[in-house]
Amino acid sequence: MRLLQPLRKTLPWSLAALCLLAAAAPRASGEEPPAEPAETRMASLERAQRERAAELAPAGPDKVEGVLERRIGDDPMNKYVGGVPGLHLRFGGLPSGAGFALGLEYKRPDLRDGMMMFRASAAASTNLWHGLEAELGFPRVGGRFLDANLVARRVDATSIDYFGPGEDSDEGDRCDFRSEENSFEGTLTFKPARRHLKVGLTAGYLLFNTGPGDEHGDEMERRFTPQQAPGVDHQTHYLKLGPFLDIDTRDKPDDPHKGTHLRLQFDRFDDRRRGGYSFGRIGGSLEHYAPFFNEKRVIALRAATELSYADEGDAVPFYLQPTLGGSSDLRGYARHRFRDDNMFVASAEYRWEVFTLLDAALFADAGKVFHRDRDFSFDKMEIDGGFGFRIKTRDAVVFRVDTAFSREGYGLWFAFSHVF
Amino acid sequence: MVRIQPRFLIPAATLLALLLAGRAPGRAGGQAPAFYPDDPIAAEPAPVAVGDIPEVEVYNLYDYLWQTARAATAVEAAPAKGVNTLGEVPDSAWFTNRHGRRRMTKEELRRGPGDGNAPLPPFLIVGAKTEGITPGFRMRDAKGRLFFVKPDPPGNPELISAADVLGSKFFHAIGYNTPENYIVRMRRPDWRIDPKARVSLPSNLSRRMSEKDMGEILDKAALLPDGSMRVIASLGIPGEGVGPFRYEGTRTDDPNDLFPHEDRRDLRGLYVFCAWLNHTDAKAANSYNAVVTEGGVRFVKHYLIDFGSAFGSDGDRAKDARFGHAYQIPVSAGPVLRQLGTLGMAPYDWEKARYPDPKTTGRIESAAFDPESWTPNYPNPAFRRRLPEDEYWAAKIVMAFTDEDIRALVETGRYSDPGVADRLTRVLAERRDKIGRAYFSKVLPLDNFAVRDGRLAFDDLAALHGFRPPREYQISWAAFDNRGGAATPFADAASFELPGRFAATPEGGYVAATIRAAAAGATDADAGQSVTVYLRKKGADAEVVGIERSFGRK
Repeated sequence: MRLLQPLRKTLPWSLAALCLLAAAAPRASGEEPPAEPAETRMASLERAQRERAAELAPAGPDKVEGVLERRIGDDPMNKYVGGVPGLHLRFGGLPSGAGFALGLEYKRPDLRDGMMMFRASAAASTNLWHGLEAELGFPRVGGRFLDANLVARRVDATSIDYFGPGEDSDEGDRCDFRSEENSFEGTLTFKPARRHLKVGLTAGYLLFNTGPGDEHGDEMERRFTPQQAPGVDHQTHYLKLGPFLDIDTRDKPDDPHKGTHLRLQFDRFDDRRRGGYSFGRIGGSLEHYAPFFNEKRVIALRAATELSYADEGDAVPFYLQPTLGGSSDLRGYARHRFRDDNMFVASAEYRWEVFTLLDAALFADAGKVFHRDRDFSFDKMEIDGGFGFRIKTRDAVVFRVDTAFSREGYGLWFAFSHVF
Repeated sequence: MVRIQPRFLIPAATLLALLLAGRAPGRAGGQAPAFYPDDPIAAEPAPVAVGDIPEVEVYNLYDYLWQTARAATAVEAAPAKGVNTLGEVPDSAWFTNRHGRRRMTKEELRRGPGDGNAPLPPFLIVGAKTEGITPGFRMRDAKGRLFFVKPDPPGNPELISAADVLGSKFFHAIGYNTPENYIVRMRRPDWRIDPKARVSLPSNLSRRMSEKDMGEILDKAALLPDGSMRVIASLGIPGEGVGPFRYEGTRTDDPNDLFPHEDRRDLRGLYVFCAWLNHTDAKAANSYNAVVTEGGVRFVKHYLIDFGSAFGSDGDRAKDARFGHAYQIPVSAGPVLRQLGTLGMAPYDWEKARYPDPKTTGRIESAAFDPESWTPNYPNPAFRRRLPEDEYWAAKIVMAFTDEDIRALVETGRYSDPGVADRLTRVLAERRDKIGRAYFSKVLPLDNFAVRDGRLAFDDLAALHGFRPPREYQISWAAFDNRGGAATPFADAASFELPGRFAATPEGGYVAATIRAAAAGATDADAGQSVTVYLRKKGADAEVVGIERSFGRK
């Protein structure tokens, strides 16, 4: 401490003097020849290059990036859900009402240099439905204008709701049935204008079996007579044959923003087993998409109908009757809420983009079922309205949540596809 | 214990602070001089040779999500690196000063990175990619040159090919390395498929290519009335491809990669060029590193590639109207809440924008374009760190393109309707002017400094381009200590004449002139803005060796 005493007195002055000297140094006045730095800019950069060259390390992505790239890849949907030849996960693929369905699919789109495609899948759902499917496809069997494919399918739906026939069915009559469907179908499609115009023919053999549903057992058979629910007592097999026409000017079929889509189809269902259930069916749907604000808003309109014409003395079996209610038509009503030989439904949506990956929508649905085509009128249409959100990729809606309200309550729907 | 008495501590600290304040901004600790004798350099030193370095890819999806996730966090950027003492970018393996330094002739602009290698039929198709956003194929021409080929989409028969050619020519004229892109009409007899050709599938799988694959590509191509298709053929970049460059960090096996990419002025300033040309897909995956040998040295050369998403194009269709105005995934809740809360009934200006030729040039226009709020598809780390000085550097280059220059470049898109070229030229000229107005107001846009007839002369770029009337500036002079960094004001010097004391400055000595807008003509935007010009005594003359711009950081 004693040694520091002199410093204690002089240090402040010394510091101040040093600072003054530094500030008033001749270099600041510019009057003394400045000593140019010996090195040049180029030399300093070259030195930096040499120093870096001595410390090089292998280049590569960081650990997390590397691991994720190996495990997930740039296109996980293709890698895990079917774009690559081989075995994949399959999401969905069972009829509406199955719940969340998951399965495995083996797909080979590369056979004969891509001229032949084969896939086979098996899926099960949270509602214990299951399905098996195999497809053999011949894309471009006739050049770029002709496709052919054959599909074999089995679906076991353990519980499909049934509320009775017609528009006046009572929600309180809800019961259910089990449906087993085995089908073999072939389709030949002529595409004279790429995807914009398709004309084709479908032929197939369908085998049906129904039974007591998982939830309500044989209540349906006890409550509804074969006159009310044709085919409830015994099921049949069909030979199915019919042409279709598809005109499509939509920009993106899986997330359309503009254009029109018209589909007309006629199918002849020929009862090959019992002879009492033959009929023909005309199906038609028309969609139109009107964009505004640079396609960030879309008014989407749809009208669809299915009209059945049973042979003289025959009936359309209940399990092949058109239905309304559910995630893709009357969304404020229970799934398959209305069922009869004919149906008509119309929907309108106002969709707006929240951001690139999310759309929101306000919508309204109206529709009815009716027994004979001459019974159709716009009276007593069932209506609902609601809102929804859609998660989308560049070209497709991949997930949808819709909530709708009707006189019978509300529906909340989760789906892995667009409504229309 | 030694205690400094408070009454002495304050003056000492003040003196030290004054000393520190006199240092040239941007210098670290005074170890290195502010200026070397060879400053300002026009080019970086010759590269050091690289050894064998591997191809390193970027994981696109990860980059997309990672950069988006980070974007909610503000960045604090330091001044850019990879610049000379004038704030310019020296020529390097990244950037070569072209039109911004010396006006290129119309022929040079049209030639771009090269025009002597147009593909010659017959073509041998050696591979394809039929899946994904843009189907395309690889082919060798009659001379064996490899080209990467993409057709125009059916609804937009000139969109992508023109965008890709224009992108390569514009970015080349600006200064970047780009591939040679050619518009070609391919007719059916012109090509055949190599029996060994493979089709790429996801997950690095492939299979043999067939006529069916070409059929699928044709299905997604615009066919002209004579059955031919217009394609963009991009000549393979010479050298050995070693993967894209990232917009941050450095490549650890490249001795010449001295500056973190996010700090490079040529990559920060790229934001402005991308905004001008609406290149919304400016991401790592659309870049390319090639090991080339030039002057007997193997080194990594850096390219921008794939301009199919520039201008109004988006790879296989007209650009989404949102692109260029908002990130694909918002990085804040505001825009989402606005769209939800208003049920989409309060559209943004860009949602109401009108496009002159949506079918041919896609969605590019100038009325709703705002250079300050333009965005790429997802956040780019170099763009996010840009500072007004970086933007100013780039804006100067953008403003170097006259209407005639733009037209010469646009014409290389070979639009069948001449009116399209007229309208696109007008749109780009208007976007250029918006860029000039925006970035010439964030710093004092004074440039082209020189000492003429004993006066410090310069151009006021904002006035030169007609963005505002000429105005008065005030100047203050100081002696500058190149080693210590101290600036000592000349109290009696306040005109643009070199101060009298400059004559007494020894050879190689420095003075600094700081310029601000005169109070009479200053606006709010000028607050905190100044330019300091450093002059070095050279014989009887003074040479401009350094420029620093202060922009009033906020």
